[in-house]
Amino acid sequence: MRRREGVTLIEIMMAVIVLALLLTALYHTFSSSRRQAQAVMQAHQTNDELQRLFDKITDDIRESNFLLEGTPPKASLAQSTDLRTDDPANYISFHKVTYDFSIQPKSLADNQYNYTQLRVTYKLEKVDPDQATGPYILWRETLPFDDRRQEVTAQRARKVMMENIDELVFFKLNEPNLPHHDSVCIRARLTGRGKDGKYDSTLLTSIRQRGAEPQ
Amino acid sequence: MNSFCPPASTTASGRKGSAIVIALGLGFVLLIVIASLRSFTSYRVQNTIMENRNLKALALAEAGISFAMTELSLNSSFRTHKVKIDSAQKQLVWDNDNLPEWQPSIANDSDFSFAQQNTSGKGSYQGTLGDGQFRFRVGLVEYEDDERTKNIDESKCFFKIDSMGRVGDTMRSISCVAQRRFPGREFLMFDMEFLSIVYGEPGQNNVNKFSTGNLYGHNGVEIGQILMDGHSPCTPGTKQELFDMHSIISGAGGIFFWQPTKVTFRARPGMPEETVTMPQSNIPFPQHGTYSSGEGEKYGEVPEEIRGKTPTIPDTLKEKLKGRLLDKNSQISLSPGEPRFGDLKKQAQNGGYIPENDGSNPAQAYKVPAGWAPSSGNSVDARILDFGTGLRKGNVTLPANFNGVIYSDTNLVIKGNPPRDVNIVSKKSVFVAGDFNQRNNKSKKEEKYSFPQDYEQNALLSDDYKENSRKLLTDDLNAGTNPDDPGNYKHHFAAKVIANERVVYDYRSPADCFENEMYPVMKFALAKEFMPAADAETSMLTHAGDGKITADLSDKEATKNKIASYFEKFPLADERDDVPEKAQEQTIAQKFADKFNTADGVSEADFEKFCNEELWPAHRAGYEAYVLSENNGVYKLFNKLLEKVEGKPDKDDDYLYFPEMTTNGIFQSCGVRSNIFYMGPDYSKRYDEIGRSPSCQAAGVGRPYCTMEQMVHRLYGSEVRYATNKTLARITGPSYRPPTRRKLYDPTLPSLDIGDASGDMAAFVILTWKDLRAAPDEFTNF
Repeated sequence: MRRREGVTLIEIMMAVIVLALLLTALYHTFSSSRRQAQAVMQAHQTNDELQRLFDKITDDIRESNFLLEGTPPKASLAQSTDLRTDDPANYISFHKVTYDFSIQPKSLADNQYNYTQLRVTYKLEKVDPDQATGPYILWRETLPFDDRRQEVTAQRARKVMMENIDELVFFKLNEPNLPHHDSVCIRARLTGRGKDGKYDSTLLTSIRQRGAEPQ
Repeated sequence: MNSFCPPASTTASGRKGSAIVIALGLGFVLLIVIASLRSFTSYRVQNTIMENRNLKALALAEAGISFAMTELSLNSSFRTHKVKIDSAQKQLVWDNDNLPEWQPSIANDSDFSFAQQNTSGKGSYQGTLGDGQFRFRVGLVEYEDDERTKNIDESKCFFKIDSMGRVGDTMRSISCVAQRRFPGREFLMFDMEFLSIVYGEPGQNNVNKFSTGNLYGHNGVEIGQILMDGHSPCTPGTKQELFDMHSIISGAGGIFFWQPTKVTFRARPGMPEETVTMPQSNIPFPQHGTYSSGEGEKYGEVPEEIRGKTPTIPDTLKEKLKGRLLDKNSQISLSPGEPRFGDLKKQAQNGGYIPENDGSNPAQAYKVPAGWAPSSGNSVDARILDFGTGLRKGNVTLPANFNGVIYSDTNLVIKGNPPRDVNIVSKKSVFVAGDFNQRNNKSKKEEKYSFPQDYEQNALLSDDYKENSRKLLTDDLNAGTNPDDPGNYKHHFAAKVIANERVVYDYRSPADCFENEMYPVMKFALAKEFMPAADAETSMLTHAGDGKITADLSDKEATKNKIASYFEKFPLADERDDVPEKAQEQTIAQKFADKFNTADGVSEADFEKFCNEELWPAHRAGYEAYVLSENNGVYKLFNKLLEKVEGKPDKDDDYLYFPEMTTNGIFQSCGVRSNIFYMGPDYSKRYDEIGRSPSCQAAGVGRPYCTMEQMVHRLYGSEVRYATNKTLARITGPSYRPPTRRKLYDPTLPSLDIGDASGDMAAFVILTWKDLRAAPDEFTNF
């Protein structure tokens, strides 16, 4: 009997098919993992952006001396989930005081103080005012006060802190028995938009300002 | 059959190539997946670690700030560095070339490895906490005192504090300026619970007045007229008024006015003086509100309806009250800790005065009303510290090199005028049982008997003394090294009274509370036996009078009869004849008749000597023995005084003064509230006071000898309640009838005796705060 060498066409085709199936399965597995990893990375990036924003606002509030009366609105923990980003009362406004000890009391005029102030306001506006809902832009507005406690309106300024925010609410907890009573709370939800879809990230933080109102 | 035979090509050697391809393909795919996952997880882990270190470093930097402020509150001279004011840059900078010359006072601690960092020569303090380190610097900002602020010495209260925290290679830095505040020096009234300014009785028309400076209630402030009794409506009564106020502050609560109240705020830079009628708060006090228990309602618990609430300020007043009415939203929360009794005792042991070690000052049974003494007794063990006055000698002999600290583990009863700056400390209670710390300059005719307590109208209507009298007290800042120098006399000293339990104002004895007011009237009453009333009044009660008895006293029997006539009206004991004091009256009469047996009458000096050394001491002794007798001479003299001054305008050319218990100093206590303390505009409140109530009479303490419109308690200084002594037994039972109150801030307090603040606890307010990132080199070089 003559020895047969090589493989049949059928065998080759079967091997190719099996390999193709295997590679396809592996590709799908890899591709899915890659997409998931990308999604997580994107979500993480979104989270990082939100965290960096929170860090900036946290530092700002910690350095402040007093909140303007009525800002932010008060809410219980349960009520806080009902707060709306587009509520006109949803903003926070506080003063940062800078003392100038180089001016001795004797050289101060009767209506002059040895400090100036900066009013900082965080507020949100819709990206598209015509839309019923967000996304929103977070603005940081500043208004200086001179050493007579008069507004220096010419130096009023505003800058964008972040765009495309889906939700961001400022509030104070109206629950005396909670440890963070009277601290400022911020809850924000940001949606990252990658080529493969949207990625949500929500953060809630509590901040207490360190300074006190000048007397 | 062939189809069932394995082909030759299925041998292992024939399939080797495809297996390798498959294995390599799989391996490649797996490698990519693993690398991707590792990269992702590594990123997350690193990020989390960094965030954790960042937070830890920040917490460590904050710990450094806390350490610095704690040490500053304990040791007023604590500094690590000098601070320069860079005028060009308008900022504070460290003077690294000139470290302060002092020894570190913070002891090394095994938990924190705390020590001054000497090795690098930078002078910063450093410590460890867990796996991190912190370093900090403290320096006094050399700012000048602002003369326009009466209650703060700005040259000693601003501190630059920088701190760095380090965890691994992560650094955080905080730079802040803190203001040190001494509650006792800066605040008229300071209460670590709820500051209650609701004094008085129902159905009374009198007005309590609170003047000057700051008020602070850690959990809130309430101000109001008496409108309730046990949280049920009653006849409206005593009102409260506030004037010359700098600010009213609540640390963690609101400021409540229970009904419209007149408040005058002083002018400040850029802010004119404002007199406003504070409207009733928009959060009313509830009748029988919501409490945790019935006991809670009685023990001063704040009802749920107002707890943590902050009444809103009407729009019409907002601008006027800006910076003046500061509720919890202002973030001025002060926590000064509690007095360091151990340190104060050590100071007393090394150059101070300890009454227990003075054999001449044994503990006595001091009578108290029911509910005050342990084991239902009617007395407590107490040592009497009578510093004496211009009219009597005291019983306290301070050591030659007295360092200013008096300490006792027992109750103390204090009265009279200390001869110098003093800290009076008791591990129990201090009973302030008479005029305290207001001396008179005897070399001046108008101060012959006492400090001139002159008012524009009278003590019940006027807010404060006349300008001339006030100036005598504020001028004390300029007194020289000899406080007794007649030309530069010091009328009051920096006196701090510190009680681990209570500071009790004790109104039981008119002889101690109103001695300087009654004494001239006693002289007048005796002189009147020998002279026409009008002449006696001019001679004894006016500055223009010569103080003489102008009468023929050559008839001894007649003289003795006149003295007897005086004792008929003002007996040493009472109306009874079968008491030993009757014989004493005769002895005194005999002495007087023998000594002044002349037709020339009695000179001013002789009459003063007789009254001061014979008659008044006899009256004081008679009062102690007959405190319950309505007809005791002291009560009679008190009534005679009232007859002369009640309802009449004050004159500044006489020695007639309205009954006024004067207590000057910083009064600090640690006890919690007494048994009955209904919050709100409520009469049912027990402050720490004793005297003039039926319960005092029942306990043998003394008589209810006058109404609340017949005396004034003038507290000149400040009151601090730390409320740290939670284990103190509450007082049960009524113990006093309220006086009309004048609580007035002493503007000399910030500057009097600021050097060693061992008797003052300090609290801090952050003025500026800066969070910064830092590099490792910055920590090393800090």
